Amino acid sequence: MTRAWWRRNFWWMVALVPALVLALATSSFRLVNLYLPWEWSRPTVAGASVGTLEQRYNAHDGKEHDRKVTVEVLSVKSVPRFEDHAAIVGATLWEVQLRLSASPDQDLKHCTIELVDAEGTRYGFEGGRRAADPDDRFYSSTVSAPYCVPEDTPGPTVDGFTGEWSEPEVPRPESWELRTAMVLPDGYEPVQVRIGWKMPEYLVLDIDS
Amino acid sequence: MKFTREGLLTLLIVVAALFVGSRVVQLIPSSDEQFGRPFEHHAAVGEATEIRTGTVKVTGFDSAVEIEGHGAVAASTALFLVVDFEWLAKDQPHLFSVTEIVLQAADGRRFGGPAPVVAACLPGQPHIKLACQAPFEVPADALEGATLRMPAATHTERDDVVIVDLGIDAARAAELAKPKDRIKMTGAVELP
Repeated sequence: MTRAWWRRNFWWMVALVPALVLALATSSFRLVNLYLPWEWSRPTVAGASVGTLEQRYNAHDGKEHDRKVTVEVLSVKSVPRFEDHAAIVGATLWEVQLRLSASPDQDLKHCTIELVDAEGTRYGFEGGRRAADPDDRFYSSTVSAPYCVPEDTPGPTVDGFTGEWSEPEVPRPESWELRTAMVLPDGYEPVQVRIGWKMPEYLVLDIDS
Repeated sequence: MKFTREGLLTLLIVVAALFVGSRVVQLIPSSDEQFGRPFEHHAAVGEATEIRTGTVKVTGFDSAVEIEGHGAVAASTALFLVVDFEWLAKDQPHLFSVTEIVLQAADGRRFGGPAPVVAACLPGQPHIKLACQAPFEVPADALEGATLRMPAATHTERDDVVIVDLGIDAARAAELAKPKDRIKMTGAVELP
């Protein structure tokens, strides 16, 4: 190409750059609008054992609501048993104790809690369990998802079918503690706790050693 | 019209670019060919295959007239082929959806869907291997040359799919066509 060609076509070549960027952006429609909102893709990394998750989300009433929860990791420790559960051979049961603080008018039932090891591998609350008492004939290793609010004062909740809110007679306290347990294979120790209520936002907290 | 050396060069470049572009378009599969086609991984029995969500390995299979699981018994006028496989989730909890596994006969017939007794492969935590089972109610003439399609995702095959050649020849198919009375399903067993 001669210098004259470049001179004639300089602005077209400049225009090519944003055109390519726009082409790439439009191609990412599915990733941004369909895939990422249905994954835990927007972390708030506290960089400490306490942090605050802020989220605007669509509830079952069809309206947008704000969620603001402060979570503190009180302890994460290996235990021989948790309630009637123990870890299977080759794994360790870790008890997680969190303190949650939020205004009582928010729906905070059913969160997702995961432990993360140093390699970034995530572990959920299910699996790796056996009866702590070998003679327990009624034991079931199946566990429910963490309730995440006090059982007797859960706070408001919205009906998934009707979209109607039910207000509790006794308001939820401003702060409460949450205990749960998870199983990690031997040789892997948790270094972070992840907690979230609705995808894609979630909070990442460090575990103080 | 006046021909210049620069004009001729531009013309040659444009023609060459059109030729190359046309060849590239011919080589690239069309969207019709690609739409809905999964990322296929081929394996044999005993061969572990890593997919997007973890590692899966078919370890064996057997046949029976009845299967028993969680206190329920299902009987077939044909036979049940019960496939044993191992599942190891990668990076995060992933179950392996047993109802998504399809047994495909050599002539294209497909068998699968919800099993008459509970057969689940969960919860699937990283580093904790699960031994699982998948039952298929099939006629004996579907066994020879059958393959297993094991998709990584639920409700879609537009993802990684492991296609396992079960290696059933005529002799093995004849063996399986004389099924046991009953196979007791173990459910998902954790193998850390």
